[in-house]
Amino acid sequence: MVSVPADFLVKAIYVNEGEHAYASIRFDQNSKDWLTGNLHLVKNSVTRFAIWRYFWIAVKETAMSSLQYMAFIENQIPKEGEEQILQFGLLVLKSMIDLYLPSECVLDKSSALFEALVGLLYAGKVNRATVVDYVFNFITTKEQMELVLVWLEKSKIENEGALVFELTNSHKYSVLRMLFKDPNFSKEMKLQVLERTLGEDKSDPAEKTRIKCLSGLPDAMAKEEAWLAITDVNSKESIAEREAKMSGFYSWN
Amino acid sequence: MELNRPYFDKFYDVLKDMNTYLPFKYLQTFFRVLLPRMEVSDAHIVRLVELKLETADTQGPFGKVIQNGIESLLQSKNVREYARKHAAE
Repeated sequence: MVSVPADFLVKAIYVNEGEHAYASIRFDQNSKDWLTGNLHLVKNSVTRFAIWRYFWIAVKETAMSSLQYMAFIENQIPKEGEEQILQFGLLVLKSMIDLYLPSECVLDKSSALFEALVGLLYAGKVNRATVVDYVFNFITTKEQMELVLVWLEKSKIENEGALVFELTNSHKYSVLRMLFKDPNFSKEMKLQVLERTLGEDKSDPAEKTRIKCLSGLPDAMAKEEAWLAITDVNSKESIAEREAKMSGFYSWN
Repeated sequence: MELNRPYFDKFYDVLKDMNTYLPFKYLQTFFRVLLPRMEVSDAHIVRLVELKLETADTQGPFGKVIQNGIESLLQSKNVREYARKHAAE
């Protein structure tokens, strides 16, 4: 029998240590608060991963505020060294923002996340490929887009002259899609970047990117054209083409 | 966002015709990708409930899509309201 020190304080309670039970776990507010700032101090990665997932379920079941989960992600992602947990966090982020965050907070939170993820990329303590796959989803400000356009131009991410990551075609397509939704740049400039980046690339992904880009343009006429093409029951366009138009349609900007 | 808003209403206007004249798989994709969840109003939930009531076979494929949509909208709305309430406390 070992006694705890006299000054021992309970910081958080988690009732499924070791994940031995299928259970729906709820946390008291003190535990949520402590874990939001300190989960990375828990050494067992199975427990950490479980708490990431239980928190996510709690958000969807209105047992935890989506804003608190966002704060949890912002605090924990830079400190989380386990690849699988990081991937989970990045995976839920987009749904979190699009579906569950109060709309008035979306742009600020996206922008902060972009900065946090760029910091992670530069620090290089995690698998950079995992982070690069998600970082473009959170481009929010003009300055952030300008930074990413420099990366696109060079086909690589650099930090103070040192190579951080070589961009793949898929990353370039993601940047283009975000650029076309951005109201801070002219249509002419966007089309130039599109042609410079895709050039003679006539592959399916490149063609779909062209379609997604044009349906994402932030002007009323382009939106209306895309909408009519998507919803016209007599349309002669292929299903694939119309589905590509759908995926570029909405934007928070 | 301002440019998107008119299409939040139009989305509900076209569902019936799309279900009648287009392949169901296309309707499913349309619904999944374009169901407006960025902002959810009670009026939008009511539109889907009305549409469900007008659907003869509520357990059929279209009825199930509508029901999933109602649940998705309610979930987004409730989670956002819960977050706002907690932020205000």
